[in-house]
This record gives sequence, structure tokens and C-alpha cells, in this order.
Amino acid sequence: MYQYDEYDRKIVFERAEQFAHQVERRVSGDISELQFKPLRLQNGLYMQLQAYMLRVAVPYGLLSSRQMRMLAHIARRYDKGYGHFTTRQNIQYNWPKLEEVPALLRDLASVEMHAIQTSGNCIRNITSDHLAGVAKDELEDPRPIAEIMRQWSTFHPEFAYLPRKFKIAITGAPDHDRAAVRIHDIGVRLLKNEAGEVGCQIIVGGGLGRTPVVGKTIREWLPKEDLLSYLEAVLRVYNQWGDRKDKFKARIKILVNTLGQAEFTRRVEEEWVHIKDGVMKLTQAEIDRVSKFFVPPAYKTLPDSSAQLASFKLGKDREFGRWAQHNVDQHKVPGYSAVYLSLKMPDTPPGDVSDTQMDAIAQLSDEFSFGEIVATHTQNLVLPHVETARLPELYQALAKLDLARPNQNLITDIISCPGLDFCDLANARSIPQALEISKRFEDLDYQHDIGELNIKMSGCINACGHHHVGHIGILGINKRGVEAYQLALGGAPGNDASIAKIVGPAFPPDKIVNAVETVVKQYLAIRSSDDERFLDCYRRVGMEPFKEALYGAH
Amino acid sequence: MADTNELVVVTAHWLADGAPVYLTAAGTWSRALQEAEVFLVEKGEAEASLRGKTEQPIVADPYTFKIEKRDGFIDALSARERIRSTGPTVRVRRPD
Repeated sequence: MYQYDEYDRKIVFERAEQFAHQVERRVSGDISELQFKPLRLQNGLYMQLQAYMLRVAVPYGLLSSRQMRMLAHIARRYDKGYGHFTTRQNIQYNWPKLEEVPALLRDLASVEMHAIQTSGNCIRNITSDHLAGVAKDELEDPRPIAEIMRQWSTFHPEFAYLPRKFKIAITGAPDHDRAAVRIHDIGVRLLKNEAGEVGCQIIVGGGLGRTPVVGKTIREWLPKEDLLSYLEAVLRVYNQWGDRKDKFKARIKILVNTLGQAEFTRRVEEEWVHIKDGVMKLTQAEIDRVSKFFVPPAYKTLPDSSAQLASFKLGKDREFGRWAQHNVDQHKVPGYSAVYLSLKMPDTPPGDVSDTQMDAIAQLSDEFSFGEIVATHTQNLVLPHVETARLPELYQALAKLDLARPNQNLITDIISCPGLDFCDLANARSIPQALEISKRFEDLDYQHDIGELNIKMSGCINACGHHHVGHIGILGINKRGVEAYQLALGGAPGNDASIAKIVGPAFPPDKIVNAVETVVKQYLAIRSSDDERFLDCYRRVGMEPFKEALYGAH
Repeated sequence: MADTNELVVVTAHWLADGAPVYLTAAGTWSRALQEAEVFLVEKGEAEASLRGKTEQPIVADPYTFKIEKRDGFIDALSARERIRSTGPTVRVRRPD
């Protein structure tokens, strides 16, 4: 992974010191809250419902064991013993104290981490495929390009005051997008042109929130050397023409929609012509320099382990077999697997992990995964380099830590934002409902029978829980001061991205879980075979059967 | 337009830790909603505005929210303020 140089280290330490002075001035009353707010947001520090919240950047989700240990220390020392992994591959702490945040930032800086640009109207954390570098279906490891984009976007002087936040995602597996690039402000897909060269497809104007939109491809293929200049052109058009008066119309998706794809593209290309051969030209030397940080670890030469993995799935140990089936992904290197650590456990908010678990995960990553861990945008973790032969051993260790629930992509692998229990923006709680749903479907046989079904929950229209792209999406709303929940069906975030459609009137808190169960039962009743996934079934039959099941009696 | 007979309390974030606090009759801040002074809307908003100007080193962003008072008990009218006053409805630390 990328290693800071002296310049990088200086920046993050100086930033922590700068913020320390800003906090001093705020506490003394030298500066008002109005003056302080943009400064603290630029350091990822929010004022939430119950306390401050600090969002720490985890570039493309990649963590070293050393960094994970520091995250554990921060949870212990500065918070209430836990952290929360988010849908942007970041980690959040819900209870830091203001005057301790500078010390917290210094601790982060000591392990090459920070909270810079995790908030505010700037380019946020670059996200990517959680299997980057190891996926069998990957065309090329996207992490070098992700890192290049990260460096380009950090403290970019021209884009420090955009009309609104800006999110970029990249995938190196063009046929199986696990980074949800089509629902980002800019999505980058690495793919080959007709000559077989790997370059970048540019998708712009995707997003969720108040106006969910699947992004539009404005450039089918671009040589890597032109990526940064092209991104600059897109950002410049957005910076110049994006709405700055109405916060709810300020994202780039609105601009693309207003101008139309053709006109937006024209303006980008027009801007790009002036800068494409300038200082932003990405040299092969630079790509090679950064790529060196992502060379594969010292894998052993092992035989193919597909058969062994298959035998684990069907072996006598049923629990281990289930886990091997759902929580283990094939690896591009023979003899290795990528392992999911489920952060979706009963009675625990999705994505939460305790300090002791974080310490243990760090230790396991050293023992099993060359010291690397990846946060997924589905609020789980991955150990990306595990010898398949050692899966039984790892499983035992994870089970003791409560991190082995065999539910990846199943109905209890719920994405949920913090909701009204924590978030100042929320209209309704999301975590209690997520936990209730999880409890309703806790039977593993039942989950297995249902198959792939992603539930995504948001406590407000900002859609941090990605409800628009859930197979079942749930949105918490406020109806005259009372919480209620809208159900939507048929969303998907990947190559076949679609926005979920609202089924009908919202459900009160004590009925939403029943409503989800009704939908699931209807699916089981009408699917064409045991192998037909929920999403495919919905796309085949449409909304009516589900609407009828939910509301038909009323 | 707000009904001027509606009741409100003044709340803010405690600067040190961001916790919700409520303005009391003694002019201090309490973490307990039940210790809040109850105002009519106009007086409450004026008080919030004043505190916002004069107590910057102590609190952030004072504002008012509507309440009901029944048998001496203050009840926030919105789910948001109710949860804010009682704390998260989920366990905040993952048990080990």
C-alpha cells in the first residue's frame, strides 16, 4: 500500500497542529461557531445529534494492521470503545471530545491517516472495489489509479470550494462492478479499447439522495495519461456551472440533467482541449512510481485451491461450510482466497466494530493476510490474501470474535446508516429496524433459501444507507413528527444499476419488518426456481405481485 | 407561522463534547431536559439568540424546539428531540 513520504507526513502533522490552534481559538471564544464550523468540517468533524462525530479517511478502504491497531486505540482512548465503518469505506467515531480531537488527529498522522476532506464541499475519499488487486475477474488493479486520484484531489486549490460534495469511485473489474461507480459523481471503469489497451471509461452524474440518478458515460475510453486532465475538465465545468444557490440542486447530477448529457459532455471536451497536454498529463513514470506501492505480497506458490474450497463448502462441518460458501471469494492467485468479516451481528449496529475486535482483526491480518485489511462499501471488512488451506483455522478465530456470521449478500447483510439515533440530518431511526429485520431472518437455513437479497436502509433522503440501490430499499421519513418507513424494490448498484421504486404508502415502525417479510414470502412463492434471485424475480414480474401482497387487502 | 402560545425550550450543543444541553431557569445549562425552563416561542427564541451571542465558549448553536408539558413532565414533540434528550435507542458499544 501507499507509503507516505516526508512531504505527506509533514502535511498531516501540520494539519493536526493547525486544527489544534483552531480548537483553542474556538474554546476561548476568539472565533465563533459560525467561523469554526467550516474549519472543523474540513477536518471531518461533524456536530451530530448526541455528540461530535469524526470521519476518518480510509483511501479505497485499504488498511494496514498497524493502522487498524491505531483505530482500535482511538476507539478506546477517545471514544466509547468502538468505530463504525461506512458506505464510503471510511470509519467514523461517534463520541470524540472537541479538545481531544487534535491529539486524535496526531495519533492518526503517526500511522499515515487523517480526516482531511471527509466532509465539506470538496472531493471526498476515493473509493474502489474491496477485492481490488485480488479479484479473479479483475482486468487491472485499480488502486494505483485510485491513489493517483487521491493525491491529485487532496488540497487541490481549485476544487476546495465546490458547489457541493464530490465523490469518485473506480473499478478495475469492468464486468463486475463492486465499487458502485454508476452512482457516484464520477465513476471510472478500467477497460480495454479495441486495440487491447487498458484505459478509463468516465461516467458522470450518478448519485443517490433526493434525486437518485444512474450516471451517464461521457467518455467511452480515455488513455490513462489523460485521466487527471479529463477529471479536471469535468470538475471545472461543475465548479463553474453547478448551482451554488440551492443546496438541494447543487450536485453534479443536477447539472448533467439540466444541461443534458450531450451539452455537458461538450463543455467538458471544450475545457479539456485546453489542458489535456499540460501539467496534468499523467506519465508512465508516475503510474509506475505509484504502482510500485501495490505490488502483490510474497505469495507462496501453491496449487489451485478451487477443489479444496468446494470441499470446505460441502464438508461435515455445516457452519464452517456455510461460511466458506458465503464469506469466501475466489482469488486470482492459486491457493488463496479473500475472506469477508461480517460486521452484521445480532444486536449490533451494522458496520460497528469494537476496539478489541479491531485489535484482533489486526492480529489476524498479520497472521493470515500479509497485514492488510479492506473496508467494503457494504460495511464489512475483507482479509484479501488468505491461504485457502488455512480457512478452517481463520474461521475458528473469527467465530470467537463474533465476526463469522455467514451472511455476505444475504438478507441479514444489511447496509444501514446511523439514522436518527446519531445523525443530525436524519428523519427516522434506521438501526433498530435493521436489527429487527436481522432478527426476523436470523435462521441461517431460511437466509440460505432466500439467497442473494440486499437490504439497504437510510434514515433520511440523503441516502447514506444507499436505499435507492437496495434490492429492498427502506427510507425512514417523518410524517408529522412521527417516524415512518417507505419501502422500495428493485434497486441495484453494479453494472446493471437501477433505482428502486417505491411500492406504496409508508409503514409505521411496528409494521415495516412485517412488510419486508411479506415481500420475501411473496418472492419465495413466485420465483421461477430456487436459483432465481430476488432482483431477477422482481425484474421479471414487476411491482404488482409485491404491491398486491402488501396492500391488496386494504 | 408559529403559534405564539406554543411552548418551547432552549437547547444547544455543549461545546466540549457536543452533548445536548438545555437552558434552565437559573440561566445555566443542564443535560436533563426535565430541568429546562419552558418559554413561550418568542421569549424562547430571543433567549436562544442571546445565548448564541454571549456563550460561544460554552455552547454551540442554541435553538428552540416545541414541547408539551403535562403533569410537570416536559415531552419533546418531535422524535428527533425525544431521542436527542434520552440518547440513542440502540446499544452504543459493541459487547466483547
